[in-house]
Amino acid sequence: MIALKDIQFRYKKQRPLFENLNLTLQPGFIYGLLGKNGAGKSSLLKHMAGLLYPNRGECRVFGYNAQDRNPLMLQDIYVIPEEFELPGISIASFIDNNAVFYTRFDYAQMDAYLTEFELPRTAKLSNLSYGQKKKFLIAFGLSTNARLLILDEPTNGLDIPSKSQFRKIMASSLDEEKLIIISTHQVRDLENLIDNIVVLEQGSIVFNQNVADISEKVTFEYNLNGVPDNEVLYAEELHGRRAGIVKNLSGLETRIDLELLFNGIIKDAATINRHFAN
Amino acid sequence: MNTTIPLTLVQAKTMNPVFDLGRLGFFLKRQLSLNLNTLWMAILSGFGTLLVISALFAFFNREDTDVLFGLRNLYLVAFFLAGYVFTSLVFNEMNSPKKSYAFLTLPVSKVEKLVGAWLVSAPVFVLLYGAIMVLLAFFSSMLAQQPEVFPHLFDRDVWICVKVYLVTHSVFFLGACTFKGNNFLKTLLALIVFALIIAVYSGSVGYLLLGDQGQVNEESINPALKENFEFIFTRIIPFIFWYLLAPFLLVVSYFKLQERQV
Repeated sequence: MIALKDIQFRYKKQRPLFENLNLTLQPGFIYGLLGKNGAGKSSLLKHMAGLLYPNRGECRVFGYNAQDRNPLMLQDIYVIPEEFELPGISIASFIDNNAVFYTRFDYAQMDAYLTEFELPRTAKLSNLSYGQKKKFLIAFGLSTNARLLILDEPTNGLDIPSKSQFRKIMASSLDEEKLIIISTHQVRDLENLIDNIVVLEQGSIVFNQNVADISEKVTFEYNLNGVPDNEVLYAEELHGRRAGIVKNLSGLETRIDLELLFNGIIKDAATINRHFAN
Repeated sequence: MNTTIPLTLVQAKTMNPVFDLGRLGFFLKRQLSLNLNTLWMAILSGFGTLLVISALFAFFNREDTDVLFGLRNLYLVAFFLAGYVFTSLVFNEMNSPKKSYAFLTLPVSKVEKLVGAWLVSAPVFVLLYGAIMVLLAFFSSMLAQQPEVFPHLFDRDVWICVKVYLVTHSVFFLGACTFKGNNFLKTLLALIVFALIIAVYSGSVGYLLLGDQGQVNEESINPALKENFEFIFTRIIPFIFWYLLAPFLLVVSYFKLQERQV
């Protein structure tokens, strides 16, 4: 479990990024961390991995204080950042030198991912394209079988077939012990993949709901004509029509439009949260 | 095929989270593998340059013993310079935001990272450079047709230099943990600033105690003050330098490593 309690954080000479941020994440789920550019998604993930320290508050990961960077905690965490540089060694050599630190590393799984992503073991990492490097890191991260997998903008740089592969592999890798956090601003890439949606805005978590609850409580309409105003939680212009988030009074589960939901939360999180609280 | 077997879950759970020899070994192997190409290039280019210089001086100054000792001194200067630069680069992975995440989230404790980096940049470097120096000195003395000088090149001065390196190395080690980029130059600058502060402070103290007489007649100094000065310069300062400086700076390096963020 990850528990962030009363986190306050600011970069030097800048306004506070997090003010009393609280968040609890449970294993067995894939969390989608959404937020605008500069909202602090990457900084929040870095706090969870012990790469940034809060000015106040505490971040606990599997019972450890994240900023202690205890090796017993770190062998259960794998971070795939948005920007990275891989060394000028072969894939095989990288695996040979880094897999040993992860107690649950599965070599057969790694080989299967390499085959799936068409990455030869002899290839030099620094010579791969950005997308291939990302696929390699995703494959390595999943093969560590770390209980916490942190992915920052994982679909950036992936081509369309690779995005499908990514979704398929991520969905199949989850078990009840694992906790996967995916941060992105390309919300459509996460559709049908995430179990929980967490939205970060202006230094705090403004929305944290299970996908099942969302699809049960609200519907996404692309033409609001005829929908009573008191049922509309959020509306916006979309291709010349009024689209929006509407209270789901039927009780039937509906398909979630992440983009519309995200826009609605950013514009008026209070109204949407009030509806979920009822 | 896999050449290394990962730790089992049971082994991992019984591991000491602060220091584990197995993990230290894996860490050293990883660091060596990542930097092997750069290390080889540095060793070969350094060795090649010194070899050419040695060959030229030894060949054109045959039977001149001073030239061999001069070359020996050049090797020692290169030893300090290469050692300090190498030490400054020992945590290079932490200096780039694109690489530091991997280093900082590597399941290795701070003590293991510190010990691993110290081992590579102090004893291993001294042994490796020592072997290169023996080769160069042997080559030079043969080329200068004075093989009998070879054993005398490794006199007491060389051992003092090794001891001084093992102490002063910790200054650059701390610089490697502290600064983000240009660690060698920044450490050098910090040393210059520190030396200036000490010079100004001791100059001021000297002025306050002795006035503006410039040269002081030894007999005119208060014997108690003289005794104190002698005690400080012959006992206290050498003791601090040889026994306290390096451990103190290594402890500070540990805390610097602990507070390091991306």
